[in-house]
Amino acid sequence: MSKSDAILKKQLDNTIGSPGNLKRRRFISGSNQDQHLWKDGGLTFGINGVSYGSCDFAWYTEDSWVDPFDNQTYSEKPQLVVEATDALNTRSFGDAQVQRIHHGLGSFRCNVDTVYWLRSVDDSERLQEYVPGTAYFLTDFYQKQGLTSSYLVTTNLEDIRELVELLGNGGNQSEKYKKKKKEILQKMHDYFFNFLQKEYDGNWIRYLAGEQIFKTFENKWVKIMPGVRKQNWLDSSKRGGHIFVSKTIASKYLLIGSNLFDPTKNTLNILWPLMPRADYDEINISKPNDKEWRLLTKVENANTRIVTNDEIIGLSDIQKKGVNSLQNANLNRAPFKTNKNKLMREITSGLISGRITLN
Amino acid sequence: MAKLIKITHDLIINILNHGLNFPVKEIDSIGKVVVMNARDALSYAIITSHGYLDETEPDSMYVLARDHFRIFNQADDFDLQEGVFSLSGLRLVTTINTEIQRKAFLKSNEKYILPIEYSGYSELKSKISELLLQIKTNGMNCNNFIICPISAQNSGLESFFEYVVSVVFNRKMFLTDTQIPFFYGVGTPDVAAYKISNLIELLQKYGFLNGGGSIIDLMSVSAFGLSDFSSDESPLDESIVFEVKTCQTSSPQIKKYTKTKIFSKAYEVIPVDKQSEKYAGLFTINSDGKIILLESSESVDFEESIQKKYFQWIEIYLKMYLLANLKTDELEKLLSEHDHEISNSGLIDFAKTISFEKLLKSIRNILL
Repeated sequence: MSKSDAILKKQLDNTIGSPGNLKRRRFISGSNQDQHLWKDGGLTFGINGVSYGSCDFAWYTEDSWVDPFDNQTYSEKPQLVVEATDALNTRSFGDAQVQRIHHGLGSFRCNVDTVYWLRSVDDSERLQEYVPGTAYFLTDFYQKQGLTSSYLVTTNLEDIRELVELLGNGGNQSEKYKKKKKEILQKMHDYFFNFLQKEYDGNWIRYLAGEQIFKTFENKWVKIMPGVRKQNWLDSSKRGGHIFVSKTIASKYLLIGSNLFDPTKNTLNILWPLMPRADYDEINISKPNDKEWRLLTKVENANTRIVTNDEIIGLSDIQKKGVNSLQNANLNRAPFKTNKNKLMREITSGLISGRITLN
Repeated sequence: MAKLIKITHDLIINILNHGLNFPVKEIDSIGKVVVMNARDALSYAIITSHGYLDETEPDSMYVLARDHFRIFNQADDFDLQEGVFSLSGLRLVTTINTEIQRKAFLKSNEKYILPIEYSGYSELKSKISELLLQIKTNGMNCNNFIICPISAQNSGLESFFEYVVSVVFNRKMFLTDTQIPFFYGVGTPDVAAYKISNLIELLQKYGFLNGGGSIIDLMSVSAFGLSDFSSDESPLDESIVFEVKTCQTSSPQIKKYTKTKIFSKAYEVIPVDKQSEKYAGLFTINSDGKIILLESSESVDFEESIQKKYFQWIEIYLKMYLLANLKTDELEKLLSEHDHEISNSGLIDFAKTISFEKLLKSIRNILL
């Protein structure tokens, strides 16, 4: 648990409490109980025996609930789950905002309303548009398949307070509660599409290209993830897995939201140019139970395919040397950062022109 | 070979009793508890994150954590974090005063530290339910009990040892802090202890310290009163870093902190039977709960000029915690009296510019 998590939970405790017949589940500090499954008193959700990341806070009722993790009935029913982060206020740049989005995905897919709260204050960083965008498109996608839960993203504690208040007063079927959910979803929709319109004139292709998502000469959708290497998965001090899972999920649902991608027949190739297939196989053997690895490769892998360096055809000898030189380098430092960016641009343009293809 | 010492109910009692000299009491059908006054207990509860029994809260526990009282994110930086102060305008949010307003029991009665051994969450919950019943049967107030949960795996007890270190060094006239903000990319030391002679003397002189103390003690003055302490000892500047482990027998990552050259000493804090390492001393306990302090065989590489620069930041950091003794309107008044803007940036400017002594006098005047 990060230092700021304790503050966020305290704000939820102090501002909202337990209205109506709702009860709270959260673990303040010095405990890893949140990593246990809901059925075991924790804050981790899963489906068909596979668990997602742990969340931070839940309101529940003492009603029976069939847990999709094992399809057994339990006596505590989660009503609203919150994953919280202070990433907008800790000068954490890059992927900090999105890296926990898969934590809330577990409860959302268990048909429990879920809020990803990125706390905002006066001089917070800007919320990256693809965070609410992804959650909006996830909600839209799964509701069309029968889920009734929503994956909500907000920067405003007041949104959560109102939701819990309405939930406590009228339950999750009350019109007021449903209306509030819709209102938040609409805000997420507008936040994303206003950005798309303002910055890209509504042009999805250009927007996706900025996210390193594009179509190859062979009509294959590709998302390039330049930093993925073996050490990101095998070195426990790195949180690479978190970022790669969340970025993959975000890429897929943005693409689905663009309507340029048909999830009933298209595949998104997740390209890891610096990872040899042998390294992929090694991780697969050495970390079969790693939560993020399992999510990426076995659970949240519908419509995605991981493509390693070995499946790239047409790299020049210089480019191959470039790949080798970057495999163990610090990609955030000169000259490797520049070299990496140059190589990724070359691979992207090669894939678009057809000079480079994917096996 | 190094061997970890198993933490048990009895050992926790012994550490607090034999190691730190807190009295022990036997309560009918409940067993041995360690007795602390409300002020010491609040420090214990915040540093350890061990909860007060409170049936109105989830898991029947009211838990406070050191992280609730954050001020800055990093050393040598003044980037305010949500915690003691709000980021949405100048406001004191989480202070000892606001906590006591929320839960009045924090301030009153003697408190009992009760260790409970458990092997799983459900067992802990059921033991707490039984305990609550027993407390009611005994006609006692459950809010006077603080639970020290001891998992069968020895895990989760790092914060308990942070508290023990803190008290031991407070009694040696050090200022201590746990989970102190440090440098980006270096990590967060579990405990740090500072002797900053001029500041400690002033804190004692104006009643803010009874010898040494923790950051929590500095914030508790308005709630629990000023101290009356005098000493002829003139402490020399010193800074020590500690890294706590309860599930492994060494902690070489402490070298990350000593490499900064801020600290003149370093200790691994591990309940273990071993000799100290070359790179750090060892703070441990014996099976009777007595504290054992072993020095490292090699000295720590330290530079006085780096320490001095760091102490300049610590001084401002301490001022911010001293201000947590005020209420928001008192803070606003203080800022405007000193011609500072009533905003978070005005607050930081004020803390940077006012002298330590003048600040202590001002706060003391408000409190008296």
